[in-house]
Amino acid sequence: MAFYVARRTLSIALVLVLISLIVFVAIHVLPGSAATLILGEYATPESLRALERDMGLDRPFVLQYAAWMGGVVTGDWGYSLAMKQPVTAIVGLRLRNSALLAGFALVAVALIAVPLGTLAALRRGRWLDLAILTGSYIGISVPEFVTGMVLILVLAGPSLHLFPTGDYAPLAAGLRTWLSHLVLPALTLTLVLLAHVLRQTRSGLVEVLQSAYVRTARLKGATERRVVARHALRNGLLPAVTVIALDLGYLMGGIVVVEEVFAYPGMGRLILYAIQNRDVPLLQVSILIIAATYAFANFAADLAYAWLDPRIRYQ
Amino acid sequence: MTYSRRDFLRSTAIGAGLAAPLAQTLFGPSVARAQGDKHGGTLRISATFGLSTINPVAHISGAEWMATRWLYNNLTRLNVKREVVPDLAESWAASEGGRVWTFKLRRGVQFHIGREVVADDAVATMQTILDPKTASPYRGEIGPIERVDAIDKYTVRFTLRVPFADFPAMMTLPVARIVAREGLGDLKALAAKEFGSGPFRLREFVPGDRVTVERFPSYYRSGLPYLDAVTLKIFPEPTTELTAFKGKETDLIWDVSPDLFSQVAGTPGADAMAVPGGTFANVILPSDKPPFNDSRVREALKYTVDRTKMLAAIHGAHGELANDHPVSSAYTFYAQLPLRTPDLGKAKALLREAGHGGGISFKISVAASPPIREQMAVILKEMAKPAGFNIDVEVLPYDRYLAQVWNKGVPYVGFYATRPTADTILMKLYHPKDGLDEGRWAPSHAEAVKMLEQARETLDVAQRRRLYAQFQKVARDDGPFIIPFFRSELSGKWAYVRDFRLNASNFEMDLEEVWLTADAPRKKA
Repeated sequence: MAFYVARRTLSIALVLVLISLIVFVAIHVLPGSAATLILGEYATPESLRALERDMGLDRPFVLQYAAWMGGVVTGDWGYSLAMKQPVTAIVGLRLRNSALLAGFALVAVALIAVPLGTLAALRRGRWLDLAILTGSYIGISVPEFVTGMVLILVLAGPSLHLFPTGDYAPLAAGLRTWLSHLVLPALTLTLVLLAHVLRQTRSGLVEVLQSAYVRTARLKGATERRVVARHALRNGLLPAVTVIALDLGYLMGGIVVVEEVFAYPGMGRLILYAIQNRDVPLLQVSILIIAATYAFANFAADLAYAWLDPRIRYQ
Repeated sequence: MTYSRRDFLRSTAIGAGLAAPLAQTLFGPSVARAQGDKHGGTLRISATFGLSTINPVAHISGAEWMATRWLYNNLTRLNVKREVVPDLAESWAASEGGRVWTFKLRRGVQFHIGREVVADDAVATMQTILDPKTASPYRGEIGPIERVDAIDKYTVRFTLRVPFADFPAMMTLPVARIVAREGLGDLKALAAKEFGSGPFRLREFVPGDRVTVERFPSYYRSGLPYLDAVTLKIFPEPTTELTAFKGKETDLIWDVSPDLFSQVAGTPGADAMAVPGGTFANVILPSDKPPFNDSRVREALKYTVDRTKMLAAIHGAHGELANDHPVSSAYTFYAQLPLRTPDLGKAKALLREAGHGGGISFKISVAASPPIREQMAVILKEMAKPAGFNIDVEVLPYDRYLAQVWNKGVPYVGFYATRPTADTILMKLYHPKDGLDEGRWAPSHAEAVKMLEQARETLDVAQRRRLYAQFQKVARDDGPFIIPFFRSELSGKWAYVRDFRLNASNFEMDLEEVWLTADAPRKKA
């Protein structure tokens, strides 16, 4: 097991280095540089040259990458080219915000999807199953900006105004204020992600419920509750765990639209900003964080598999 | 005009001459204070983009300019009537025919870092802007400064390469905020810290998301500002921004699109504000190569534009029709010329005369933001089609537009905000050295460019007026741009925000005298 963990960690590190190289190449292929975007329509050839020199963008590509890598190895993540601040300071707040939103959304998804999926599996083919499936389909079919907008207009509009339209508040502003800002974006994401987990739970459980060992459990006289909770669910949840792990990665960087709609400063918007401004140091760190989240969430899912299903062993 | 409870209290109190004692016996001291008090409260402003930095030497977006206006002072400032008035400088005078300008600083003004503002700070700030290593975006816009000297503790002298009549107006530019010397050593740090003397000091800055400033108690205009704090928050999605405003989560929307503007106007208790200015989008026709090197082709295209319809379609009729030159009636040297009206017959005739009887095809590239660029190109395409112009409109992301289209001698749509003076925008557009000459027009029109130089170099107002009028006529008939209209700046605020006046340069957001009435959500008693 220890060997397995070490091997996986090492391969994740390798993947991250490769990703950093790909991002670096990709951003150099795009037209323009951070200097052209900082100066915008005020640029002159002289100011462009001066700024590119100041930011080290006039050096050969390999040297730029080596310098960045050298910094990372020594713990210096560099300065954002557009915001002129240490990358760590900028990323810190966004990472915390994204983690918070992702955490809320995932907990909500798990708490709603797993019971509903179980219910649907147990009532397979009946109207309740159909209603649950249809409802979750609607959630995933409507684009998130529409869901978000509708929630804003209805729940944050002047007539009801139950929650703020978006933004975020520090915990220092009070628990209620802090939470109230998270409700609408988290709800939007929950509606969008519900179907993934719900359907995996349902199909996983349906399959398991038909298996031999569940029949055995029933035959030996176990109560239905015990059969489902102790025997079936543990196995039936395996596919859902993978989906939750992938959703975590998505929530940490892929929800640009939701973050834009709710004016929520998270990692998604930051990455978009970094790309639009050719802000290489900022982009590198942000992408690496997302990539690492994906990689480690998958890793954690694999470990959870072994825990849920003792037959699975890693060498 | 509405007559509020406050007005009632005030007027009856003055009439009876027993305001304070009566109010105090009836309501107690704290209520009496709150009733007559403009002080206190937080003003919450929203915008939709741009808040990367608060470094005055390097910022280029309206939201950033707004924020530094609260943190810093300039030597001079532009009031809502667009007059240049004193700020840190109490007075100024020209000598040597406008080549030397001397500014006398106000005494006793404090920086937030607790030191007096002196001439050395102004000198250091200007030298930083002018230093090529700084790569300040406005180095070219701030005027032909040769050297800056501190004559004594409170006197700054600018020596220019050539006389420049409008120089004091240049000191109102967002780049010309006076930074304390201590802040200029590390320009990176200046991106998130402030070294100003303005009415507010920095409390929190989250780049790309929000800035919060708080009242500076030792501000030089004693008793001001009235507000305790101001926040500026970025809402990337305009519909969210409007909903937040309607729910009174924000008090003021800085810049609203025309369709959302009508919603603000329809909200009871909200004031929709529209101020005519000099902001425009222009179609740039590179005049150094075919087909636009023939002035008849340029004129033909100008004749196809129905300006009234275009303004109505793009900006909801909030604006002023323009004559293909960048001087609007907001500027002192605006010349009233007959407005060009659409005439397809004339357009066709001109094209035929120029040897393009069979029509002309060309491409206009536009950046995806702001939307006015694409809107203008698409409408022009339709309006010009009957005259024989086949226009292909290509929409690009802003980064590709900057790298491949902007100022590269091809047709595209530019976008310009109101400048302090007509000279600033004219030089920017037409002068090959001090500006961009995006239309590649200057080489073939040396005489017209000379007019601009003469007009800025003389202090004789009548002569300037004549030269600028002459230039506007040339630019209208022969110039390399189609400028169909100037769009008004649109904003919205709640009625409880008082004494707020929108400047035609809408980023010049002066909040010193703004106050909140007692029914504002964030007004502390």
